[in-house]
Amino acid sequence: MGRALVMRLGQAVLAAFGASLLVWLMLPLAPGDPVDMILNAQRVEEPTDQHIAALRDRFGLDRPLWQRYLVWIGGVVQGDFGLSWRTGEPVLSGLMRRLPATLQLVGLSFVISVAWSLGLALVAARWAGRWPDRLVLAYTRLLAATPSFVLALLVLQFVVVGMGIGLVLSGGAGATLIIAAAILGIDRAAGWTQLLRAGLLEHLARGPADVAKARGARPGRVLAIYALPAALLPWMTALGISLGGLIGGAPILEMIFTWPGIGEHVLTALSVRDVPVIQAFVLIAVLAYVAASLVVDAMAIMLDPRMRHARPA
Amino acid sequence: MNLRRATLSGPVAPPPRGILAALLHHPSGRWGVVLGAALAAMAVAGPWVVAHPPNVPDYAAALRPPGSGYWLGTDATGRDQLSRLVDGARRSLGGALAVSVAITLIGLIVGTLAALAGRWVDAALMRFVDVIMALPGLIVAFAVIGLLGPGYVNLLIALIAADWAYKARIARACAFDAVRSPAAEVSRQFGVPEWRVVLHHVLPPVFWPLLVLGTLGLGGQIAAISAFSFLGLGVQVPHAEWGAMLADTRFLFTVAPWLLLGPSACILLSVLASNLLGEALRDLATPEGRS
Amino acid sequence: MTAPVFSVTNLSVTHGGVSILHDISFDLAAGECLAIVGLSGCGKTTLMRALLGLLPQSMQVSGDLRTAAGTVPLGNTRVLRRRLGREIGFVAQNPFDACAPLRTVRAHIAEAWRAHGLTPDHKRIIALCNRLGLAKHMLERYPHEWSGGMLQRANIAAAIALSPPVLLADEPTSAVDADMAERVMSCLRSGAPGVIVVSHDLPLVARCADRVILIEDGRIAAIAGRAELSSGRAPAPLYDFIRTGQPPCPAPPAPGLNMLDVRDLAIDRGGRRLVSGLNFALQPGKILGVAGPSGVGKTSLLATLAGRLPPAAGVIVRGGQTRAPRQGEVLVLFQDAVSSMNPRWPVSRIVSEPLTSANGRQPRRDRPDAIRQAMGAFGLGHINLNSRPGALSMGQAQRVTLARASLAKPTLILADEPTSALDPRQKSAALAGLARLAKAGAAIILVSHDRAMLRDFCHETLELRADAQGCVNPAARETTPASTGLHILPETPA
Repeated sequence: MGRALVMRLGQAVLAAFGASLLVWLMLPLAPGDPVDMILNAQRVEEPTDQHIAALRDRFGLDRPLWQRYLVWIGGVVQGDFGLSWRTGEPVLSGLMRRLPATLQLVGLSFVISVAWSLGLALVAARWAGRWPDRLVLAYTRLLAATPSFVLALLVLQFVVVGMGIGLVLSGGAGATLIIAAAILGIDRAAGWTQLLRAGLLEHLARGPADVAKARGARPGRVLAIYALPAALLPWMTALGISLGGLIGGAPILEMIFTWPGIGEHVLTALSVRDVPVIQAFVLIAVLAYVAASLVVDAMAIMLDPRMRHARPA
Repeated sequence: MNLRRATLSGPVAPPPRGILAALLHHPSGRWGVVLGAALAAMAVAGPWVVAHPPNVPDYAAALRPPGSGYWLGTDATGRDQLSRLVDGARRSLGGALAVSVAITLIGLIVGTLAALAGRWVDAALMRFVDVIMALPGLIVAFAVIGLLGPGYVNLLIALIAADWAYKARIARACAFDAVRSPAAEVSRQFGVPEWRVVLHHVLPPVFWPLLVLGTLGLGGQIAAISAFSFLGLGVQVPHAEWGAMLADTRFLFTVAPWLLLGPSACILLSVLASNLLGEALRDLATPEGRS
Repeated sequence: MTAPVFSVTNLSVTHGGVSILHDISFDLAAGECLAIVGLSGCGKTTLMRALLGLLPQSMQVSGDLRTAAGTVPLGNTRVLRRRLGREIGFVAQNPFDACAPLRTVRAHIAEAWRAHGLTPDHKRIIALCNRLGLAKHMLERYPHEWSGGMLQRANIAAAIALSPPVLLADEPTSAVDADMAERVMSCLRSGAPGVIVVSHDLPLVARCADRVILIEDGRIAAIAGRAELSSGRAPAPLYDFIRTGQPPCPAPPAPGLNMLDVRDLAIDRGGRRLVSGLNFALQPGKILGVAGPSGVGKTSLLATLAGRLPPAAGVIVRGGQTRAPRQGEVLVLFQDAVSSMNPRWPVSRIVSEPLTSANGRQPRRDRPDAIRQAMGAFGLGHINLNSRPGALSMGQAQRVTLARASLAKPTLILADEPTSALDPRQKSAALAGLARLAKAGAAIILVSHDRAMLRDFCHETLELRADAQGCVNPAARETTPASTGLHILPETPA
C-alpha cells in the first residue's frame, strides 16, 4: 500500500508542477505586449513613457523569462501571486476574501449531489426495469440535458418568482446558498446517478451477487453488501474527476444568484484579461482538483484489498 | 463465459444495412435522429424562412408577447425572438460541431501516432497529455479565454484546448490494443502489409469509440458555448446565441417570461438529441450490439 | 433406493412464449451423486438457475421443489429464497468469481448465516475448515490471496455451512488445476448427503456420479445409473453424447523431410530459464501436443517458434535452414477465436483475408468460390456469409478461423488452447478441422492442459515439467492414438 500511495503522491506533485508551468506560460504566450494589456486592464487611454517604465519595473517585465518564472513560482510557493493589473492590489488577498463563499457553495452542492445521486441510483438498481427505475432514468436523462445555468434560470423564474419574488432576497444569504447549491448539485447529480446505476447493475449481474442470491440473501442485502461497495470504488474516482466541473460551474451560478464568491471577480478579470488574477484562479482551481483526486485515489487504494496488496512492478 | 453466450445455429439474419437504418431501428437513436434533424434543418434553412432580421432593433415593437407577426415575441429592443433563435442555432450547433470534429481529429492523430510510433514519441506525447488531463476542462477553457480574450472564435479554441487531451488518451489506448490485437497479429501472419493492417484493424477500433464520445460530447460543447456566452465570454453583441439571449433576458423575468422559454428549450433539446444519438451510437459501435 | 431427499417435479421454463425447459422431473436419494450433462445451450444452466431462483423476471417458471421441509413452487422466488442455503447449497464454477473481492473469506463463509439473518457460528466455520483441509489463518485473507483449489473448497464450506441436504455444483472443477480437481470433488461428495453436478464433461463427472441425466433441447433425453452406463445397457443418446466429445483420428504424418527441427532449444523469460534442452522434429501433417502446468513455458515456446521471442540457446531449423519464419509460414490460432477476427467484417471477408495478402493473392472473382469451398470443408456451409463474428457461437467462430487458416496455407500452425472454451460437440468439430489442416500438409503444435484430449488426438505429446530447480525437463514420448480414452465407453456400445 505504501508504495502505491507514494507513487500516486509523486504523480500529483508532477501534475501540480506541470500545471504551474502551463499556467505561468499564459503570460508570455498571450498575444500582445503585456504593458498594453495592463494599460487596457486599467483603462488608461493615453499613457506617458514614464508611466510605462514604472509599470515595466513594477511587474518585472524587463527580466528574462526564466528569471520571471523563478520569481513567480517562488512567490506562489509563499502565497504571493503578484499584483492585479486592474486594481494593483495583491491578487491572493482579492481572491481569498471571496473564496470562502465559493467553497461554501461548491461544498454544499457536492454533498447534495452525492446524497441525491446515491439515493436515486440505489432506488433505480433495486427496482431495475420497473417503474421507479424508468422514472429515475427519464429524470436523469432530462436533467443531464439541462445545463446548470438554464436550470437555475428556469427555477428562478417558475419556482422562486412563481412562489413570490421576495423569497430569495428576504431569505438572506442562507436561502440563496441553499437554492444555488441545490441547483448546482442536482444538475451535476444526473450524470453521477447514471454512472452509479450502471455500476450497480453490472455488479448485480456478476458472480458474487449471484452466489449471494443463490444462498437466499434478500435483494436489498445483495444490493447493499455485494453491488454497492464494488460499484462505489470506481464511482468515487469518477466523482473526483468531475469535481473540476463543479468548481468550474460555480462562477456562472454565483453570477445568477449574485452570490459574493470569486465568480464575479474572475469574470471581470477574464473580460479585461487581468492575467495575474486569472493565473491565480486557474492555479488554485487546479491544485484543489489535483488534491481532491489524490484524496479519492488514496481512499480507493486503502479500501480495495487488491490494490492494498498490489506490489507495483 | 461460454454458457451466457447464445448459440445460433442456422442462418443468421443480416444486420441492418447502413448506420442511419440502424439508428432509426434503435429505441433512443430514433428520437435522437428526429430531434437532431429538426435542429439541423432549423440552423441550415431557418434564416431564409423567418420573417424578421435577427439583429435589427425595432424599439416600437419591444417586448411583444408571443402572437401573430412575432410567434415567440420580441426582446427588449424589439428584435424577433424566433429569428434570433434560428440565427443562434448556427452559432450554438455549428460551433459545437466544429469543436467536436476538431478534437476528434486531433485525438485520432495524436493518439494513433503515439501508439504506432511507440518508444520516446509515445512517452513524450502521453506525459504531455497527462499534464493537460490533470487540469479540469472548464478551468482550461477559462485559462485560454483569459489568454486570448473573450470572443466566439476564442471560445471555440478554448473548448478544443480543454478536451483534446482526453480524446488523445482514449485513442492511444484503443490504438495500442488494436496494434497488438489477435486480429492484427493474424493479419500480419498472412503477410498483409502493415499499412493495410493499420487501415483495417487499427483505425476502425480507434475511430468508433471517438465517434461515440464525440457525439456524446456534442451536448457538453453546446452547453459550454451557451454557458460561456451567457457569461459574456463567448458570442458578443449584437450576435444571437442561445446562452447570450438568456443573459439578455436575465433582468426581464417578471416583464417578459416568454423570452426565457425559447433559448432554454433549444439548449435542452439539442443536448438531449446529442445524448440520445451518442447512446445509440455507443450501442451500435459495440460489435455485439449490431448483430 | 432410499426415499428421495430432494425432488423436482414438472419444471418448465418459458421465455416470451418460447419453451426453454420442458417438464423436467427427477429425484435425488440420500447419499447419491447426480450428474446433469448436456451441450452448451441445451438448458442445463437454465435448469440450475431455476433451482436457485436466479432466472430473470421475464422468464416464467413452473414446477415444484420438494424436500424434507415441504414443497415449494419454483416460480415463487420469494418463498424459494427462504429455502436456498438451508436446503440447497450452491458451489459456483469459478471460485474467484463467486467471492466478493472486497471482503475476507471468513466474511464470505459467514454470509451463509447472515443471508438468513442468523448469527454466524464461528466454531462451525473452524470445524468446516478443519474438515476440508483449509488453514485457519487464511480465513482473514482476501480471495485474491488464495489459490483456486483452496478457494473452491472454501466455497464448498460456505455452501454446506447450514448443512443443506443437497449441494448443487456448476462445473466445480473446470476452473481448478487438474491435481486439485480430485480433492475438490471428494470434498463435494463428503459435504452433503446429496450432490448434483452440472457439467458438459461426461467422462469427468461419470467417475464420481451414481446417476447421469442427459439434457437435450430442454428435455431429459436419458437417465442412466453408473452400472448401466459402463455395461452398455444405458439409453443410446448417452453414448451418442459421449461420442460427440471424442476427438477424431488424424491421418498419420507424411514421412520424409523434417520441416521443423528443434535442437537443444532453451528459452528464457524475465531472466529465468523456462525451457532447456528441448529436441523435437515435425513433418508435414504431424500433430504435436504440448502439455504442462500453467506458467511452465508453453506460451513462451509458441512465441519462440513463431519467431517473436529469440531462443536463449539451441537452433530452430526450418525447411533445412536456420532462419526466422517467413511471412505466411507460421500461423497462430488463439483461444478466443472471436478476438482474432475483425468484429466489423462479415464472415466472408474474414475468411478471405489471406487471399488479399502478397503471398496468397487470388483474383477477386475467384474468391467467392474459394470462400464457399473453405466454409463447406469446415462444416460452416449453412452460415450466412454476411453475419458478423458476434453472431457466431464459440465453436463456429473457432472453425471460421480454421477455414481462414486453410486458405492461408501455412506450413506450421501453433494452436494455443483452441478448444478450451468449447463444449464437447464443438470441440470435436474443431479438432476435426485441425486434422483436416494437418492432412493438407501443415504441421500442428497443439497446446492444452486437457491431457486426455492430447493423448487421444495427437501423434506425439510433449510434456513440459517444471523440475525442482524451477527448470524444465522435457520428455517427448511416442503414443499411438488410442481408439478411445474414455473408460466408461464400452467397446461395442448398445
